[in-house]
Amino acid sequence: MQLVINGKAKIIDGIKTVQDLLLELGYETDSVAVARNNTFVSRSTYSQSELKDGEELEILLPMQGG
Amino acid sequence: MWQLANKSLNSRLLCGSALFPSPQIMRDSIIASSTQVVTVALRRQAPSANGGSSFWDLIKSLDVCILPNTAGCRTSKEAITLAHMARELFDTNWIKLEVTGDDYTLQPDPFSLVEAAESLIKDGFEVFPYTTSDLIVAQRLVDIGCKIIMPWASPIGSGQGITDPRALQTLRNRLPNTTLIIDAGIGKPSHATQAMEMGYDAVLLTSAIALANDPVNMARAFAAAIEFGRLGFESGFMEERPMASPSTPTIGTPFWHMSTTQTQNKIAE
Repeated sequence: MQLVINGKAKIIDGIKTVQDLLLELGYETDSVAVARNNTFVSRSTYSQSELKDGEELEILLPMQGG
Repeated sequence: MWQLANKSLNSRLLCGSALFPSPQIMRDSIIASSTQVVTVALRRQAPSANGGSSFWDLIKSLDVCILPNTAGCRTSKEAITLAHMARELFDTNWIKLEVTGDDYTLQPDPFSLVEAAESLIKDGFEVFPYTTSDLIVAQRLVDIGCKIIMPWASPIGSGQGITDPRALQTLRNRLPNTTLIIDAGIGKPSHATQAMEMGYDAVLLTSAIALANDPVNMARAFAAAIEFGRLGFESGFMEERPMASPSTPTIGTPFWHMSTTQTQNKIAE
């Protein structure tokens, strides 16, 4: 399926859920925060959140801030 | 000690974590500042180096309160979403709410700011809204439930100091029961002292320390400036007077009759 991840379009096969996606991309699920189509996705729902073709994901990590 | 939301703190300096030349200098500066609140952000990062974890581990080792921000958000929806992400990732309901309205001044869009603040307060967040010195916007934020307001001294990162002191003094006078924290535009320790002398509860700054030639010593300078500005405020300032008022007693002034006569002669001339 095609997804837009952090602003970039990617084709990723063999995944169903947000949990699958994070593992496929190499993120540690405890160290990220996720939004799907500009809506927050709680960590407790990663393995139930089934992705659809064309969806937009933001996968964010802690960063320095002002 | 003073109360910030649900925390009792010693320090009235809140410090950012960005722009430091290195993680070590960031760490040493935060320690030198004695701050107990550090702001952080969330950003897109590559997973390859598990980006973010070393920074996050370092911040956690400092044992400070975390204040995540919504920097970069331009709509209330973006800010609300980011706030929820921050709450889960950083395990805090504190959020420094920024909804940027202009790319050059980085000042907030006040309408989206109030909208986002209202939504987040309903969702149980402790909202620290970053705003301008506009009284009406600040009052609206208080009306919808904000207990903390963070007006700017001047634009973020400008180092200009307090460019409209009368407006900030008005905020302080009109919102006596609200926690007021000057945030943004501070450049020198004297700016922070001025903020504290006005009666502001705290100062939040990043660039003034991180971009100093010696960030660690600058952090110490700001800690002192804020501590003693507050002490001055609590000690009660003398009143300004429109004319000179001698500080040396006038009783027993020598030669007074002679100098008085000379003065009268000059006036007569």
